[in-house]
Amino acid sequence: MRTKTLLITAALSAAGVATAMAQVYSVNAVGYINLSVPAGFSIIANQLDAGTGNNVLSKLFTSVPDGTIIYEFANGNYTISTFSFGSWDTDQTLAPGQAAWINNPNTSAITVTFVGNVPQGSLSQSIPAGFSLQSSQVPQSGALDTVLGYPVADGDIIYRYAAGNYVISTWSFGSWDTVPTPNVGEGFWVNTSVAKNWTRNFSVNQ
Amino acid sequence: MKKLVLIAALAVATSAAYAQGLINFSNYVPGSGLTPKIFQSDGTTPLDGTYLAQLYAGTSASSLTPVGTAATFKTGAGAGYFTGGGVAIPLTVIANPAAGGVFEVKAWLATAGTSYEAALAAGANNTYGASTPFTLASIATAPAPASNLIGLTSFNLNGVPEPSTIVLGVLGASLFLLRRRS
Repeated sequence: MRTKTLLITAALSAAGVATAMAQVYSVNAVGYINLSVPAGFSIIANQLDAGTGNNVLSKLFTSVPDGTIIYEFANGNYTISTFSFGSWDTDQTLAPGQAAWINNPNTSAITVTFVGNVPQGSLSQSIPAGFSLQSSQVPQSGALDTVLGYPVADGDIIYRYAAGNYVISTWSFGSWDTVPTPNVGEGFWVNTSVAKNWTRNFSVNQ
Repeated sequence: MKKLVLIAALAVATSAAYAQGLINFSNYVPGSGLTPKIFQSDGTTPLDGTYLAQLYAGTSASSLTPVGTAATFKTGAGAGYFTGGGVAIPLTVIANPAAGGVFEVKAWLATAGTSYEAALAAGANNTYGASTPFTLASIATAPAPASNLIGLTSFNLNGVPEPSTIVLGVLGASLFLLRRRS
């Protein structure tokens, strides 16, 4: 999946809370991601928070081709949404940290644009035992464990999907056979034997 | 007795080795060339939101059982199609998804009964119908995307008597009346 990322070039400072002695500033980073979605299947992730109630398919995917299908996975089954005749039949949530299969019915790539805030602060997501679709909450590319903070455990397997095939990385005896380095906007499968939390502190100033 | 327990335990262990088969219960997947519309008995009026579709699965055409929940047909331009979402096939129905399975889609008028079987038992015309059973050589399990119902073909609901049958009936009755008069 080729991703063109235009992100976080400007951090917008916002109002702080003034006290008699000091000022505290909150900093939001707003950006957008242009994600190239190839024909057929790929695993995608929305890594920008579009705000309460807006991280849903009807708001995120407004101009996809008829017949586009999104597959989210939970508790051993898919929840499948089809875009047909102008609307989504099931308006699933796709928030930062989640990932989903997308099936682009066109014969060529389409571009999906995500807009929103870069998740910051203490970020956490639960990873169940067994298979689950996951993504970094932060739109950042890099080694899954050392850069993106994934809490790797012996026997963990990561499946990245590209060009019709999986790139499979297994962590065993203290190292990866192939270091998984997801791209921005890319989701992946995790297969782990023990449920855990993926927790990370992130700031755009890091 | 011990032997039986052991065999049963092995059977459980064997079935637990497989993950459930995952199906995209939809007849509208244009990206995969799957768009078989389902019609009323006239063969031209597509089923709308007053009709339901149910997926049946098994290891053979004679062992099909309903799986998942029924889907409502779309209306307007989408009539004739349903997109029922993901269905996980219980291991009690298909124990080894990699070995494939047999599927069938049944449709019925929602007001004719709470299930296809109820509509069938009521027996009214133009209220129920079923696809030809079809085989998937293998069924996806995680981490693969759900399998589409490739092999599902278009079908019509049960029909009113053929016009030729009605004509024959009228002719027979007319001949009978003529004979009585003469």
